[in-house]
Amino acid sequence: MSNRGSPSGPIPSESSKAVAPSKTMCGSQKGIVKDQALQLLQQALGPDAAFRDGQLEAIEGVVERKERLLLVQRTGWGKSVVYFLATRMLRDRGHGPALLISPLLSLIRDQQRFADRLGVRACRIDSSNREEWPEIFEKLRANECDLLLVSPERLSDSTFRDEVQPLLDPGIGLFIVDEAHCISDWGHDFRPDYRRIRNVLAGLPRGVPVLATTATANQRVVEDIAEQMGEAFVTQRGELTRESLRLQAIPLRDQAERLAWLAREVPRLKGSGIIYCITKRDCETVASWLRQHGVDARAYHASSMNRENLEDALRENRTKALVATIALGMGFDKADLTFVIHFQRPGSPVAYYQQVGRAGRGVPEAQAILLAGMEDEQIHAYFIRKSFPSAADFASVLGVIEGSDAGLSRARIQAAVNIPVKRVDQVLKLLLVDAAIEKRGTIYVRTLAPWEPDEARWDAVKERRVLELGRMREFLTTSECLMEFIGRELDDPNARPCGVCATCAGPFVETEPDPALVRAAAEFLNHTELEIEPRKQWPMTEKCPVSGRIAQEDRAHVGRALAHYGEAGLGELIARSKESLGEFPDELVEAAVVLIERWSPDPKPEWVTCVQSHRHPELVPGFARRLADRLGIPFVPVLETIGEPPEQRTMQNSAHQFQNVYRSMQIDAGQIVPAPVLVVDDIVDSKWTMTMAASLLGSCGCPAVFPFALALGGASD
Amino acid sequence: MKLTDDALVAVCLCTRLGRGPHVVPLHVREWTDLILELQREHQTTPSSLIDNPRTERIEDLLRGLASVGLELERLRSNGVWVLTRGDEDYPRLWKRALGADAPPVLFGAGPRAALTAKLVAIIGARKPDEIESEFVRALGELCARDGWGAVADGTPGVARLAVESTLSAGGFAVEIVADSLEHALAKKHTREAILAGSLTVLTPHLPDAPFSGTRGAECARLVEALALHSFSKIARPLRLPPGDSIESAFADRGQAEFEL
Repeated sequence: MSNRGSPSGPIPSESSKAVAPSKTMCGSQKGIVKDQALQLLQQALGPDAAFRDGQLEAIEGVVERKERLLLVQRTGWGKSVVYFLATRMLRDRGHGPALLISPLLSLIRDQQRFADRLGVRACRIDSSNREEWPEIFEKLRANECDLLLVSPERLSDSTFRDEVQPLLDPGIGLFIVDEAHCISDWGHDFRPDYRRIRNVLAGLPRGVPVLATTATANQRVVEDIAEQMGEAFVTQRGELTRESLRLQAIPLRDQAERLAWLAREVPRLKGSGIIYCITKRDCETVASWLRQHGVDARAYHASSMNRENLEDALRENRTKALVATIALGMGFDKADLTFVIHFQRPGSPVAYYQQVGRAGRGVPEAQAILLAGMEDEQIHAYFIRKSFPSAADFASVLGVIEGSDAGLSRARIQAAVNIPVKRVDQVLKLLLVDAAIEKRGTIYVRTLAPWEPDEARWDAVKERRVLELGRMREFLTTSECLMEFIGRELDDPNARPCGVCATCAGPFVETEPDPALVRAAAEFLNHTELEIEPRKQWPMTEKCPVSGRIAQEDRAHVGRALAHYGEAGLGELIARSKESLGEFPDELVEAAVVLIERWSPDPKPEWVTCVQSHRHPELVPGFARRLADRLGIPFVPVLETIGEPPEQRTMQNSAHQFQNVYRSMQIDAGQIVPAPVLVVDDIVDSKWTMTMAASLLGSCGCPAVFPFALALGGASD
Repeated sequence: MKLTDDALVAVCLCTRLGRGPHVVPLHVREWTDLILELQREHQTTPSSLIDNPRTERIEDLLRGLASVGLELERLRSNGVWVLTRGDEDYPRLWKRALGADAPPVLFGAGPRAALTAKLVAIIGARKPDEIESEFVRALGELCARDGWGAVADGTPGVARLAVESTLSAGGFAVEIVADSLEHALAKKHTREAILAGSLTVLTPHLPDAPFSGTRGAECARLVEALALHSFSKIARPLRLPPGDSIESAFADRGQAEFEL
């Protein structure tokens, strides 16, 4: 490689092997770092402030030795102290701003105050504050930002690359990866965007320190993170258990038993807390049940309005509990949270540890109670199965982009492939992090990087998740100390009996639900009304003859459904009837009548019609006719299906579903009754059938169209 | 291919990759002088500047190392490589023809071996007439048949036609583009040819730099300097020389002589 010493021609060799030893830029500060750090800490927090175990060592490692450091420390250990002090001290030494990658970006008030006292000016760039970006860019340009918080998605974003990165002057001084376990696809909380960090780290030259932290990582995940962070990675592990936290696990049969248990036990618990559910719908159900029983509980999930208000309500103890999905997760800090209840078991011990870790940070005693029932495993099994798109999905999305000459927008890709929209997004994201495609503005472009589906890896990850689910099953029935069990799952070398959990010190809450409450809960679950929200927009597709908003008079009213298809109770009966009986029994007609009476649609429907199906020509009309009889209004079949379209549920996204319906539905205008109408269908999935029916009926003079379905299918969720 | 620290420093000092327009990189002559100084007086290479930047200007520029590293890594994961004068496969013809002005940093995609293979430069009108086009097509086929590569500047007309006809005859080609490498790589046929190993596209400018007159002229200069033979002016009368092979066409002639 070296042809040094033979300077033939005017151009000297620029290749090297050996680098002459020389002084390092900050070599002279050894020892001073310690004193300065303590001085800064006391200046910010008062003269009595002292470092916790490991904090000072971490700061020294980063500031003095420019290390790449992975900290595994329990939640509430005080990683932000390390972030801010290291940033301050590096800035004082002339380094560029710190770049902090975190899935959750809001600095909570305490942190903000601490940053202010240290004079660390923090800015945040994520999708929620686009309007503030120009101002933040200006600050960066003026070198008035010391710490830039960025969500991992931004790393794949061309704006970040073209506009933000050039402003980091003089270049990134410290790279911080918060919640580093998200890098590892072995972790419970793998985020594809985090994979981008691997590339970023590979591109960082020596001399730029890296600080990665996580509270939840077992050895497998730590090894994976370390591997991705590159050689010369230092790991610092602290003790993970929290002495204030008492664990108990209560296996119960079904949802009704668990609701009953909650209604009695939650009011008895001190303080306020979090009740974790797996799905958004469970959150809504549990919250509304608890409210009926006088408990001020509120649902919190990714689609909740006012999430910040809800968080504040909990933080200020204005509500007893938030019933939340993991959307209420990393970064939510409330020192006096006194309980965490799991309505369903989490998918892994690591996830469980992270969620219960939100309780008892600043109080002497907090309780974590795990309820578990039969359906949890099925839900998790479903999520595991769906965790990676299929190789065929990847192939078709990639094929469409590859076939284009200058890239395609998301809408065009969706229109070109028959894959559910959410899965298209998932595929795009994974292809982005693998650099198989690149996003320029709104256009996705194929890169030169070769890409093959890595099914072996996906299978291994799925297998690992099944295994972790099994560990949670074990946890429910173990006779060991519960905290020690979890500690060992996290490879905490200090795991030992905690002395306070239900195993060590006996159960601290009752385990048997009240039978009367169980009956009430079963009744409640049966009567949870399911609404069918009408579609308001025609799909975005080139082949669509209509577009834009659906006119008010062509739009359906809010409809109702009896159950979720296949779900315990009515949902199961509907599925069984459709698949094997070939007829919906009278029991379902009665249930429908009860529902419609309670619903009392206004203006009252004066006739019933239904959606026809070629595959089961009598199934829905038979049901609709009997329902019309019981309601005492006429049944007039006016909607027809022409041709034999494929089943709607095989159409995987809006554009395709719509085209399928649009081509095949017709109306017999001669028979229309110009009065409010109830339209019956068996299963509502995409809602395009109902939308189309309502539009046809509306344009023929029906003043109000009320959809009614026996069941909601999966796609509408 | 793992990027060496020397290459990283070269990119950081000689381009503004990954940084804003306020950055003023070293001029190619300044860079050459710096290299000579490092080598003669300190027996060391550019990477030593990371620990010992020597001047304030270099120290300033090197503070952007992290941003440069990130951007290079992004390019690498997209299949774009960086070629620096310190690399062993840097074309000697450039060093010989351009000396201290040889471009210190280039970005590209496709097989690098093509840069040091036997190449014929084909330069000509943006709007060739039918006779010119016919000639260029025949020349491309001849290149492919005799194992020569075509090198051109990727502009419309003769340059593009030369590459296309060489490729479609089963040969290989090199394009030195002045109009955004990234745009060129987004094109389906370009991507396919690169992945098939028959096309190499590169630029001495930033991968997203748009076309300008100066940039165009620089690329044309690099095209000529990279080839053993050059058809720099396609003029009448056009006919392939007797003997009907690239070797015989250029037998006993220097580059400059072969202006038809």
